[in-house]
Amino acid sequence: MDSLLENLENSFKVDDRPNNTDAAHPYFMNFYKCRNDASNQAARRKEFLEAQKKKRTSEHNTFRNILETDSQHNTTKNNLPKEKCQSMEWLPSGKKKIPFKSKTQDSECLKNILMESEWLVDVPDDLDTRWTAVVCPQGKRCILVAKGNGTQAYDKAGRQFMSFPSWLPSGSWAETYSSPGGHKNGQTILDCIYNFDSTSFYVLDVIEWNSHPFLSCETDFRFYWLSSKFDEIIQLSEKSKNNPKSIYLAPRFPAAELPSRMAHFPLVEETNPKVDGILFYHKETHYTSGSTPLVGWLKPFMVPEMLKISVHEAYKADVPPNYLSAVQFIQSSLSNQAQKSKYRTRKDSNQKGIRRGKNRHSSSMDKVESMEEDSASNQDPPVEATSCDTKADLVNRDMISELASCESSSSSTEMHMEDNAGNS
Amino acid sequence: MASLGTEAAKLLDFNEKLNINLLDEVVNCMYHGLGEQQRVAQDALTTLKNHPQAWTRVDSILEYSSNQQTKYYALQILEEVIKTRWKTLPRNQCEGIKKYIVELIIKTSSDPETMESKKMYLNKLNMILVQVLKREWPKNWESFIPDIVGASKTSESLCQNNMVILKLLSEEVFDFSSGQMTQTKAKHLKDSMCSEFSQIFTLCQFVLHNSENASLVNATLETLLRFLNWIPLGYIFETDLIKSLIFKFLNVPLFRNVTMKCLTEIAAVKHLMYADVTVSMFLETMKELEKMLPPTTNIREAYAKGQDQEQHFVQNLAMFLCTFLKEHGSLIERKGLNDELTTALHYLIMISEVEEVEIFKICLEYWNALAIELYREDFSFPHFRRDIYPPVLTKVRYIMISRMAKPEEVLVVENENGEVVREFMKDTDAINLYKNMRETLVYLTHLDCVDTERVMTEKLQNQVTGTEWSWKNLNTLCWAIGSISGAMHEEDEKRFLVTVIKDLLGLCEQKKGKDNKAIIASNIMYVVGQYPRFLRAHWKFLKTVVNKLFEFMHETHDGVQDMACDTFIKIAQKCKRHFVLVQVGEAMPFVEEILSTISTIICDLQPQQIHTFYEAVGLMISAQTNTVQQEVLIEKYMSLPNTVWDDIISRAATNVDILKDIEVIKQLVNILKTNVRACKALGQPYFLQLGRIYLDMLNVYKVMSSNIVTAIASNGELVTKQPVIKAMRVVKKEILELIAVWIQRSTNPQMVLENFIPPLLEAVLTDYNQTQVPAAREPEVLVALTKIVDRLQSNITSLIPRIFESVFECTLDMINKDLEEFPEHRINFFLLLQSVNNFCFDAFLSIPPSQFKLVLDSAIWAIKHTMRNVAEIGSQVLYQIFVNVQENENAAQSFYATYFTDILQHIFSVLTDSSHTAGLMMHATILAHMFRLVEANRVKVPLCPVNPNMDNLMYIQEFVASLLKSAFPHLSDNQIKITVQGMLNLDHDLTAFKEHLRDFLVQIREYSGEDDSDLFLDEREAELKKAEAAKRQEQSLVPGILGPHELAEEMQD
Repeated sequence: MDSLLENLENSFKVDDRPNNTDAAHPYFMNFYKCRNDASNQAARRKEFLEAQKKKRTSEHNTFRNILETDSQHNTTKNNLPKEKCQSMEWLPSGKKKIPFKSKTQDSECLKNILMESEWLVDVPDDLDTRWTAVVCPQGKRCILVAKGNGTQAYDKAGRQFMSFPSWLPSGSWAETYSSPGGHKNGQTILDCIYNFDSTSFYVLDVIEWNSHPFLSCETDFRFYWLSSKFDEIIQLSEKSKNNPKSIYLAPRFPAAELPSRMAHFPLVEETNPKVDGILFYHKETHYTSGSTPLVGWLKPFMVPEMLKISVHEAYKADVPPNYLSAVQFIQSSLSNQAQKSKYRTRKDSNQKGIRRGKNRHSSSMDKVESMEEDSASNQDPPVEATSCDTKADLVNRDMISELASCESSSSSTEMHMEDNAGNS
Repeated sequence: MASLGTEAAKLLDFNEKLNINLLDEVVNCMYHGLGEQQRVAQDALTTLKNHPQAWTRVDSILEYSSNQQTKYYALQILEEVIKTRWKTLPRNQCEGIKKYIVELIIKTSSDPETMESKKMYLNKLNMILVQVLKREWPKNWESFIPDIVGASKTSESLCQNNMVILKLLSEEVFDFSSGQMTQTKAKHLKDSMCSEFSQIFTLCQFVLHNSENASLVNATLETLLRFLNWIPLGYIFETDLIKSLIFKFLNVPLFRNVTMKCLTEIAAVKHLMYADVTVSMFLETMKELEKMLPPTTNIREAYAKGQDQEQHFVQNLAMFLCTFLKEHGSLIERKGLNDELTTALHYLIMISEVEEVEIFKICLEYWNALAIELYREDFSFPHFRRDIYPPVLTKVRYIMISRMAKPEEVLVVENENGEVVREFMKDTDAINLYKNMRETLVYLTHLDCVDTERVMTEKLQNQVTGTEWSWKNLNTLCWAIGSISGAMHEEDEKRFLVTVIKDLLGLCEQKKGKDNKAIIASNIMYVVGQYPRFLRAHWKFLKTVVNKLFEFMHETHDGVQDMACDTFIKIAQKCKRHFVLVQVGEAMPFVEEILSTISTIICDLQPQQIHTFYEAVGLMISAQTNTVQQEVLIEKYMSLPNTVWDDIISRAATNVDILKDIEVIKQLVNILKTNVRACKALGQPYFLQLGRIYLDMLNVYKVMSSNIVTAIASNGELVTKQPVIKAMRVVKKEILELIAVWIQRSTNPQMVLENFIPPLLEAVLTDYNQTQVPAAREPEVLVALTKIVDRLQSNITSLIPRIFESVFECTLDMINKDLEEFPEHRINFFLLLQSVNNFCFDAFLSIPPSQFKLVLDSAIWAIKHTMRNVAEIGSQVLYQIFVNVQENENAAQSFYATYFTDILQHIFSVLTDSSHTAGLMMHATILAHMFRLVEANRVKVPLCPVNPNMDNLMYIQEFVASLLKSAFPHLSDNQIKITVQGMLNLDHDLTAFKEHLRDFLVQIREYSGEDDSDLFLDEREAELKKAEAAKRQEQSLVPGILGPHELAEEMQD
């Protein structure tokens, strides 16, 4: 039964993303099991950055193509798989009648284009120098698309869930006609959180701004662009007839400021939405679809343990009820880690952790089900510890190739959008 | 051709000789013409067909026309006249027609070639002859059977056609007589056929023994097949029929299908006297079968490759084996014929593997019956059974497990394009298949759970090793695993389930790609959801499963979110209590953890998934028995939708126009739907939340309503098609639904009546009544009122006049112009009427007579509808009014005085209208009730308007008789007399009463002329007298039912 529970908790996934943020943080699970993802997050970061460098030239070419003549558009368009071509119309235009069931098809292109974080498992050495923290409010992750004098919100599966005017470029009639250059054919795509309590959007990142793609720009530049634009267009944050939903820039600051920021509560003063967690963006990462180790994710209450900084007591209010034992475990693991070479010791401590966790667990389970005999799980840990290494490597290689293909497909998606914009 | 119409009119001039060429031309135009021309031709032909003299032209058309279609048309004319007006034709004409048809048939069928080439034409002639026979035989055509048997001996092709005629006659008399002839008539024909059957049988035997003509033999076997279910058993079991079927025809490919069907009919007969013959029939059939289809044949493959005839044979064989084993299986067991039984079962196993669901259903029925029978014997197989059945049952287990049908609750399916989609339509056929298979497998598991477990584990291993891996196979296997939940002992089940889930988890880890993983994950969750007993016993496991579901609620892969939400609510239903308890090792009840992270859990779900999620959590909260704690939970639970609600309400308070914004309206719809689901889950305790939003909600209702009315007033009714207006209507509907749903579940009618009803009536009824545009009136108002009346029953009686005042007349006004417009309002209106009638009848007595008349008129209006449900409601209301009004003697008498004969008249008018045949049962119920009332002298007021001294019973008889006579002048006085008498005599036996009415309906379709002897009215009268006597007899057993003067002498002492 124990091993069944472990399997269920650790290996039962639909999605192979490492450190999937939809599941529990590997360190904060009830049943911690040896996973190599942690130690290998650092390695994968390196690989991602390397891959990004190599691809840079080709990506630039791709983007140049988008901006060039029509004939080239057509060739890129034809490279797309059939059903994606149909979804050219993911931007519902005007009064076009949307046939039954078309909603999902319409936005097929937007499905899974968002950049997804991983749990921050391995704290990078350069956190203070090369990472930016973004405060992420509670809410629904979504894609905001401003185009053709309207603004639509899509969920991460590409399903439209809202439509309204906004002051984003091309986001409303009012905006289009008030701008001297005119944004008539422009298109803006933002990566956002929709906060239900304040009925406002919080922009995390930019994918395209007024038809300028930002995919292959580094975080620093993308964030600089966003903040200068949000400073410029003050109407975005004010609710009005032409902008019924406030659109804010999610607050961000260098990761080094985290200790001073988190000594105070709440983290965000101005509008005060509930904070869901903190995203850590590597300063050099491009905007890539899918999961990446170059964006990390922590819940506020995890910060003290993971980053070893002291924070305001209020952040600990959200600690889940079963967390206590995990804290103790993590602390011991972290103190070990501090002493020696990271990789080796962590593994040792993990195994200790298993044993401890197991004792505690089986004693509590005994009360529930005294009848249970558990022969299978006793032999598990040592075998798994070794098998895990190789398996994780394999998984990793798969991941990278998958991500590579992911990226190319997302850039073709991008071309596609651009193409569409050009036509309309 | 423009003058086709005028030309065609000439056809109707019966003084002129018929222009056959013109007729041919018109018929041709009707079959091959286009548009207007074709329509004109059709009209002309229909007019001609309906002309009373038309049949006189038939002979010349048949003789001179060269067009087969024209001839066919002529036969249609003939058939029509026979069916409706045979009795009114002069006798010599009848004889003429009869003779003419017989000659025509003989002429056409004497030559095998013309018989083949004019098949359609001949069939129609045969059918017409049978129609004549139904009216002529035996009275006016005593010698028919000897005639046809005799004629058959003249030529083989004639004989073949005669077989067809006999077959048709058998079908008409024995299979389709109900509603086509009167009961007495049908009985007479059956008796005649039985008594003269020996001649027919001799003819059949003669053909089967001597004829070498294949098509004749085939026709004879087909005819025999129709006879087998009614002929005296001696013909079957005491002749050489069975032997010749088996030895002469079963092995001939041309005859084997019909022979197998005959044997199946015989196998269905269970009679102790013929046990030995039955056994030898089985043995001999099996022996022949082994020669034709060796037991080593792979029937599944053979079927897949086979021709139609071969496929039919497999199906017929399945029918035979299943029928035989079901009826006589135990007989074969007792005789110790184990080998033959095993062979038969072996065949059935192989047939069960055929990939044709209809054949599988045949086999399934038998396996199901077998499993139940063996289970009932309490597992203690007698010795011979222990040898035979276990190996067979193992194979049946394999079949059930590898073919398990889709359970009802699996909604996310793979469609024909390989896409994962959500299924909305229920496939009742598939659901029944699942139910039967599940039942069978559960019994099979009880018989040997180790074996079931072994088979399932083995199949699962084949998934893991990949030998049987496919999405379909995995689904099927997991549905099978899920289907036997509860059949094993808890400990065995636990051990089994742990292995299954481990294997499935391994499989999930092993397979690459989200598609594969998503399917496996769905299956794991399906299996887990099917075993609530296991979940309840293992909290950690349950919690982990639920956390996984929450994780999957963020997964964008097709169908995963749906699956997660569906499983979550399924688990919540079965394990709700476990989420509000503080489990061992936990700091708080799990539901509190869910509530504190609810916004994160649901953030990626779509609206309808969120509603499901809320209902699930609501179910958990409903399990909290401590009211105080429950209230805290509810408050937390609703806080998210309430925040948005409050925001909208406060914004609307400053600017009511925001309630015209489509986004805001959509949000309202979502919040309201969430509330409806919460309310469904929580029941009475939901009143806390309802109270919080109630008055604001009613205000929103009023605003939406006035927005809609204004929009219609300024833009016309078309505006209701616009999304904004539609969404506003949804808001109104959801508000009504929410209130109705809660009141249905409320436990304190008084509290509801005092606190919730007054504002509701004020807002909703006023709005409904004052809406000037009928289309804008919300039909759901009537639904809500119905639900409220159903729940509050007599508590709300005092408010019924107020409700009626607001909704009754204005709705009636919308629907009394025709029988179709405003269908929703219509049906809802009548449902409301029905509820009020059922539960608040006293209200009807307190309203002014003019209003009561409206009520009654509406009920009568309802029964005139061809919309079946409306007519049904109308009849029920009418009947219930009769029942209810009896409670109050004064009201009853004045009701009878005003309405009794009126209602009688209306009922007869719908009863005899052929578009209302479906309502016969209800009409019969009401009529029988009314006759009983009069007969029992419950109607004290005089019903006769002219002579108040006339006896009511007598008056009603006269009234009905004259009513029927004037409506159906073609009926004879005798017919009407018997009909009315029957209604009185049979009013205590509803089934007989109904059949009596059915007989009457048969009679009104036919002109009987003077001769009604065919209807056997005397016999009918005698039968009715018997029924009357039986009724008296029954009544006399109840002391006091019969008055002292009615009692027989000897009983006086």
